[in-house]
Amino acid sequence: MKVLSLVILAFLSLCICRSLPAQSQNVRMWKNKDGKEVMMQFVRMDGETHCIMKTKDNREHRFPLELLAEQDRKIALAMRPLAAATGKDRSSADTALLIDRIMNENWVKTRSQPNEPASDEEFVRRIYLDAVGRIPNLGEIRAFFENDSPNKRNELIDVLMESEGYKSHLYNYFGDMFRITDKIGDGGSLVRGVSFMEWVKKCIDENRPYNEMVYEMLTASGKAWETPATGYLLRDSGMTLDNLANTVSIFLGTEIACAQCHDHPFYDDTWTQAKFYEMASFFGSTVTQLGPGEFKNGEPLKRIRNEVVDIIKANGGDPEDFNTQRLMRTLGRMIAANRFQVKDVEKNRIKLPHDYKYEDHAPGDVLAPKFIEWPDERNFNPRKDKEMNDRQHFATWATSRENPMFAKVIANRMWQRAFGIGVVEPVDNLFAPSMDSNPKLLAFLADEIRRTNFDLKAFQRTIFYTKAYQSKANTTEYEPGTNYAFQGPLLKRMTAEQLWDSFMTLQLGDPDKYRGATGELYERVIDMELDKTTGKTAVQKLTAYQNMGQTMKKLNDAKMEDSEEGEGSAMSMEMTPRSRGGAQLLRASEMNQPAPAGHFLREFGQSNRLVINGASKEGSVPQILRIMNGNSTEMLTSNSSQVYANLAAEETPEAKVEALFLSILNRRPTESDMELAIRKIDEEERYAYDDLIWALVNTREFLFIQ
Amino acid sequence: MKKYLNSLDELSRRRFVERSAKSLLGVSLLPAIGTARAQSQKAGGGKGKSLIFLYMSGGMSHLDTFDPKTNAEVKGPTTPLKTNVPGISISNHLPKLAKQMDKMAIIRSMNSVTGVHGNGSYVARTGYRPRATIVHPCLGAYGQYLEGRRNANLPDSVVIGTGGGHPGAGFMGAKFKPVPINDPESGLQNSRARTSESKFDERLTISNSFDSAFRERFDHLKVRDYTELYEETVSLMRSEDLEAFDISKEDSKTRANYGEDRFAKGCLLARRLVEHGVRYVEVEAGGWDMHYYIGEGIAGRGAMLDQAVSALLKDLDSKGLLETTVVAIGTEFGRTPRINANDGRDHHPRVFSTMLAGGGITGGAVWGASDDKGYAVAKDQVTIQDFVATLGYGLGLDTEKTIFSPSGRPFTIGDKGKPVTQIFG
Repeated sequence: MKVLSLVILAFLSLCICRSLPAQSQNVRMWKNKDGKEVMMQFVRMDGETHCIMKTKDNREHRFPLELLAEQDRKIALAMRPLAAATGKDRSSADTALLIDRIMNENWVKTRSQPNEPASDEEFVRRIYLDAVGRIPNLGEIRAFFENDSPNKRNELIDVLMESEGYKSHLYNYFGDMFRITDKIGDGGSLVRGVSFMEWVKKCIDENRPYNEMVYEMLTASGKAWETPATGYLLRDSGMTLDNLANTVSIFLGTEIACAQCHDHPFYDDTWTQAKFYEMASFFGSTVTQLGPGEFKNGEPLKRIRNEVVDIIKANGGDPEDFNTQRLMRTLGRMIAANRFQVKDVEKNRIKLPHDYKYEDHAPGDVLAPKFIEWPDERNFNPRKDKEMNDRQHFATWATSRENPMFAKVIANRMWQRAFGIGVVEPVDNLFAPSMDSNPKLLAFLADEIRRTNFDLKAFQRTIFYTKAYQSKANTTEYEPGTNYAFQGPLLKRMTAEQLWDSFMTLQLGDPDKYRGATGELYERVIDMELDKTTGKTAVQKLTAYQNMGQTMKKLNDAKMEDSEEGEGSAMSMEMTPRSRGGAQLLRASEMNQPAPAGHFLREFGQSNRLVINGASKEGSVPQILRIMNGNSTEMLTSNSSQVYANLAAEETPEAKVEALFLSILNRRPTESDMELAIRKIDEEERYAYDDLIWALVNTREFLFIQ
Repeated sequence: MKKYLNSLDELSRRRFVERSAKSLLGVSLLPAIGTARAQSQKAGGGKGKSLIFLYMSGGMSHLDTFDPKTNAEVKGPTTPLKTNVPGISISNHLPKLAKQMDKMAIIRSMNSVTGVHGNGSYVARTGYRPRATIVHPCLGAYGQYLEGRRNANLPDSVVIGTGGGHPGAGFMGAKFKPVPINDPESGLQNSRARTSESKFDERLTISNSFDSAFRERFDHLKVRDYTELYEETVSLMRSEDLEAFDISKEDSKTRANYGEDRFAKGCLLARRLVEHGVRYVEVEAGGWDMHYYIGEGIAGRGAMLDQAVSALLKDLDSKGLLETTVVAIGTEFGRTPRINANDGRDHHPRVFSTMLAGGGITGGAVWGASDDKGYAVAKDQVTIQDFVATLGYGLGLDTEKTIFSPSGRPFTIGDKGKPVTQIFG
């Protein structure tokens, strides 16, 4: 790279004539380190280390700043704002500079200082955990340390944002936010969440604009497996009002669940119960289960059952037989699963509750759909097109770039993930914040989300590029409720998923290689076209369903760790992942959603996926028992683990100790660490390494991200 | 051992309240909360210090347990059996319990509105119907929240064999979460070190040393919290209290009295835990969803329930613990009076039965009644919310006190249900 740029510069100096048009400030003779001069137009900085300049032939060239003479380097840096202002093509690096500048204003104002830049060791661990949700493995750390490119941090960010791990990590976040579960519906429901999961992963993989993705979730119609985005509404089937309250909270940062039952005590003009119902009315004519009226050929359950009974009788079977009855129940569940779909009907069924107590309306009134408005914001009321149904009208409004909250909320959420604290907190109620650190910054971030067309990957990359993010974590403790100047990220406890996936990294090296279940076979089997399905098809389906159960039982013999729920869930293993001691060794995103109660992930606070923000980072005694005495730690000290292999690959005790520290804490041992470790090894070499591994994973340093 | 029963480690309680209030409500509210808690009185009338809640998952048939009928249409595989209290009969599948009717109060007028297992169990445990916007806490969490934690080593609440559906502490968070036990025989999961004690100590020392620079640099509450939790956990591992989780310490006669199945062991473990001062123990037994061949089903489950619970009541009584321990049997709903085509009974939330004993409850009592077919409530309806409130009351908790979730939503024990105070002496 360096060599190439030198050649370019030398070449340019030979062939550029001096007759560039009228000299604006940024078109000038630029001098390189060796004193050679070239007439070029400064286009922009690309990050802090590279600049882009245009030659007379209108070609753009990117080269390291350090090639320029010192004076010209300063001039180029001074020209930054000019370039950064250009809208559409602004690079992540330039945007990061603008963000840093906004924060700088705040630092000056609050008389605070940004933290020192994070060390390479701190940075590599942090960026792996924040971008791909796990610690780096030994090879990845060494590759980073050995890279001597001055721009290596941003280069690593670019690589990570394109990796499998990025998908897994963002999926976990959405899993919590959208409350993604294996099973959709009540007790015996046969509907699975796997299509929705795969759809979310695909959206992340294709980096679909976030607003499009949410629009689809709010407007999709059909069965869970035909139109996977329906998973979001089906998930709360029969709880339209709760679903709406959650929608408004997670996407629009406005907590109005109170208004479901009564006017908001503090904002009684803004969030009245009537207004809640007006908004719910947008979903009033959307059903999640097809009623008997939806079928031309009559109630399908009765019709198909009768046909099946006829077939059984014709074959000399007894419909009252125990096993036949059992089969008929399964048939009933299968039919119910096929009725379970999102559909828009004529009638708005949402009425004010029977105990509605305000004077503006009467209990049982059906209210016309109407958007809420936020005080002090530029509200937006899109007109309803003829072809639009109410739900689409709502989704258009909610996910529009013109909506005052939508872009702001996701910008703030992504910021919170990186810095450990939002610009405004809490992220799902920006309307009544406990702190609002920097309104100008949040406005800029929201604009940036809009500018990139809701490109979450580009947006996160920009955040990771900022100087603030790449600074040392704050050692001063943050006081909840106070404003924060973002001198650096806050110390974060790993999420349950980050911790589990880090254990998987220590165990497997590259856990991203292993895949969990897909639901395709299952869904093909249970799918029915209810108006047309004959008794014969139904019998075939039932047989296939039973056979599938057998196959899955065999495939699924690797039970989840410590789980009592070993019964063959619908998630078969297509590529059988590695397992040990009954535990599936997979990344959290590839496992049951959520993991069963009692699993490592749930113990460390994975959301139960019942409510938004269900995840927790609080400590507990069972957590500590598990990390000290549980299988997950024990298996690291077996010779099948990657961390053990890392150890074995080294010759000397010193090199082994270093490999252990790098693998687990992602830093080199200090002198005293090394001294202690070596003393230990000298005492009893055979088990010393097990002790060291145990000691390292049991540190707070391992559990937290600085 | 007595000292664990009543004493409330004041220092650790205060520290705990401070910590949990901080993480739950934000520091700014701390003083107000602290005072409110300190003043909180035992407003409930019950004498119970502990509650053993035996949860019959799947929908326990009232007609085949505590509310048998003579009507041939509905009696099914069950006939009434006279108990040691004149005038009260229970199912012939519960002969041992029949001899202890004088310790029990039966509610025969239970009513719930949901006939779905998941929702039904949720309401029975929290008093609230499931909502997509919040998870409600179980009684154990309420107990700890209102009264503070009892013991520095042992948890306040333990749930045995409850699997994935348990709401735990809901919005109250991890500090109030019941400790789950999957297998009563193996006790508290991961509570034994994989190495000798000296080796374990050595490992901890090395770990602390590797970690010292980090802890110094980040002397933050959440880091210190974890360090304290490590200390707490190690002290639990070393403490005699850990024996509370170990039913192998029981003699073989006692074990035989309870029975050999998982539920029996769960009940025995519950007694040990209560003896060590644990406030709330829930033991779940499945297998009550008897859509098919209820005759066989009830013979098996009935015998299990009969043996374990009668042993539990006797055992608690002989140790002087029954006075202060409420034992309750609950379920999500009853079962249909009519026997279906598969010789089973289906879901029936309209009327069903529950049982309470100990903790100041008047024995030998029946509250409410179903009609002669066991189809509907005939007298003194008790909703599932009333039942949860009754358990809270039995535990001496203030069921009228409003508790706010972190998002400011108001809740009470049993969703404003009215405790059935009449069954308390």
